[in-house]
Amino acid sequence: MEQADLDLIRQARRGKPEALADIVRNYQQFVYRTAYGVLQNATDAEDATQEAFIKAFRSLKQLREDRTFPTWLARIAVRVSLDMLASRQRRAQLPTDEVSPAISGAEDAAAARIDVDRALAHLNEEHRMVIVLRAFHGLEYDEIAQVLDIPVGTVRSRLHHARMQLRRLLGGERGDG
Amino acid sequence: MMDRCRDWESLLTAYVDGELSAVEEQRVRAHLAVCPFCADLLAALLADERQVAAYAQSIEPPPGLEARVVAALAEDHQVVQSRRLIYVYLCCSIIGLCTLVGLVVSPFGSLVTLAFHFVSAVMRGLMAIPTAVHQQWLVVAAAFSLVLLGISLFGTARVLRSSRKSEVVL
Ligand SMILES: [Zn+2]
Repeated sequence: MEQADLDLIRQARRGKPEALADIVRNYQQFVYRTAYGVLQNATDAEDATQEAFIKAFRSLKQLREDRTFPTWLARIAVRVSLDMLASRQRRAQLPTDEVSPAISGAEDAAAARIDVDRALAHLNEEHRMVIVLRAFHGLEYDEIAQVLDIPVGTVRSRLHHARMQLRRLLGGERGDG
Repeated sequence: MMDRCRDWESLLTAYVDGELSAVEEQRVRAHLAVCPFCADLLAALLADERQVAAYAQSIEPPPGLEARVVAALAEDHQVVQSRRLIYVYLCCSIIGLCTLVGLVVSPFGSLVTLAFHFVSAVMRGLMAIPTAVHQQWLVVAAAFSLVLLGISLFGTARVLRSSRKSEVVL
């Protein structure tokens, strides 16, 4: 985490509105990608991003160490996304198979992206979350453990099963089961 | 595929993440050197990793999201502030009410009530004078002369004070 971001968080604690706007600018991609990874839907990911930032700034006093801000924010984003996922499942709306507007790019790369999109949609929540935190953001195992509130050993085994599942969905060779 | 390689699989994913101890990493390297199955799996896992990372990179928040979030934060801040203001207002009125009740109940409160009764009795007495003497013009003249007396006393005092000051200066 950069010194500039640490300064911003200190200013945000003092209630400086410009600091909040700068933090949103610097971390919106991080939060949005996390939410999108869990929710697999652009509209829901936008709503989740907004709610995650509101929750984060409301409870900024509860952040004990400024330098743990990214994992703390990821934790909030994951929880908001999971809540949203639960309410969406209550409404019995299944994720759509159509290509989301958030995924765009050249034709050749697009096919690979759709593959990952479908594969992630087939993973269960627990597996999808560890993949999002590790493969999307490159968090360390102990950071993932903090975000998800699980032991490091569980992170390791979950990531293993998620990867083997993903392997089966993406390549079909030597996957789990 | 060899069944005994199942045991290596869990180590391979942690190896991809660089989360193995030095000893474990050494063992995995040694196995990879002699096992084409695990070497293939490692290559596939690394390819998956790159594919998922590329996918993550392609997820871009829509251009309007930042402004939307900032606006929502400002609105939330206002809601929280106004809620806080209502709490402050409620607390103040409760404290005020309690103080009032306390004053009335306490000995000091009865003293205040007594003083109030006394002042109101005096006022009522003063108001009754004009009708009692049946000569309102006398009362008006008395009040007027009282005011005049006050003004002249005030004027004299000022003149005295200013003359004393000029003496000091001279
Ligand atoms: Zn092997």
